[in-house]
Amino acid sequence: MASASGKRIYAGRLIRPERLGGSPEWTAGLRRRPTAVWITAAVLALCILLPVVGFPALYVAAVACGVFYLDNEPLELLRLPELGAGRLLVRKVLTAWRNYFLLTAPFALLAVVAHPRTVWMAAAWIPMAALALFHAVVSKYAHYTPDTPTRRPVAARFANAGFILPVLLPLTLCLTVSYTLRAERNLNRYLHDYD
Amino acid sequence: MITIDALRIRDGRRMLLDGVTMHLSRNAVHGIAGEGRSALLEALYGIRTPDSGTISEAGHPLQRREMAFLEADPHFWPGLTARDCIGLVRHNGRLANPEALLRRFPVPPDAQAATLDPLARKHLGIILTLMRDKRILLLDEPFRGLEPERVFVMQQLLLRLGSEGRTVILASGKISPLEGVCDDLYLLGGGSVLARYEHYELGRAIPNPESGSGFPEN
Repeated sequence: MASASGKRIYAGRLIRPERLGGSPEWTAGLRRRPTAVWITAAVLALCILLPVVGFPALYVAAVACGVFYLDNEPLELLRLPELGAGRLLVRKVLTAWRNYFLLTAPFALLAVVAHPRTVWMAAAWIPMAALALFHAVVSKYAHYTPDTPTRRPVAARFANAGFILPVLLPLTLCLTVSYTLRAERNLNRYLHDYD
Repeated sequence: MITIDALRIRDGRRMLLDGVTMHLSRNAVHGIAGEGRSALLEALYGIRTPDSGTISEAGHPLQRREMAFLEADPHFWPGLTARDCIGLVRHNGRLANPEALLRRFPVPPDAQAATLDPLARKHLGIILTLMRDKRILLLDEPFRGLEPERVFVMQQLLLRLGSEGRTVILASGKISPLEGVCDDLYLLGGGSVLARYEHYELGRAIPNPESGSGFPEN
């Protein structure tokens, strides 16, 4: 562990950007919250042992992974891949899906082996988890301003809650579409040279 | 040729640059000293919007994809170690090899980059900037805070970059480290270009070798 002005990070070599698809969000996110990562892994392992609870727990973990996309990175880091706005967004979303599904694959396999009758839940888990991560990425870049703390409107917070409370899910879906369009426009301000 | 034409930049009520015009040739090391130098580099890199004026290369807007920028005081995203930062640059530019630079500018690899001491952050910033194979390098205060032996290493690196055909534009508060490195030097003051010196005239630009330039820090 390394001291970081009061906050400690995991500084070991288990976490590397190359292993996480070159994602600074996942690298920094996992390093900043080592305890939360271990607790989540332990809770997921426990939930997998219980029937029906396994896949919903994995879905909640996908929603929780949205915290990796709360902070705005410096402009240099955004420009590092040298991609235009659209291509960068696609890459960010694909990397988020890759990392999440790779990290949760062992738990999902265990859930299938332990409770074969709940396999049908995986059909709901995969698209819902993918949607939650997609929303986290586009929501971040719709409001992205370099080097400043993220200020998201109240509607965005309701949209996040929609992934847990089904009543709010229509609002979440509408905002996801809106943020997708807005994210590309917003990123174009910083990345227009790379198109 | 990079052409800066009648550039005007205001910071609040303070006029940093007021109609600055420069013609910077390609494949050369250009030094910029004096007030407003950092604002000029930021405008070149596109992170500061000028109030008026243009920056172009051969009649076209300058492309940021061809540039790398070293900040005067490099800062990094919390949570990433120095090794992560280097790993990210390598991941995005497969040819980038930091080994030689790491020998010259050592950094603790497993320390959090955001909380490194200023000297180590400077080292890491230099490594990350020079690792990238960019045609135009914008270096803001590359010598500030470096130990004397590393200033010499930096000068050697700049000479090599210039001879490799890169265009290097460096801003420095002190003129003395630029001697023998730069092909020309622009001296800014009062919002405009006060003087331009060729490389063989740089000795004249140093008013007092004991105190460096004595220009206001910016």
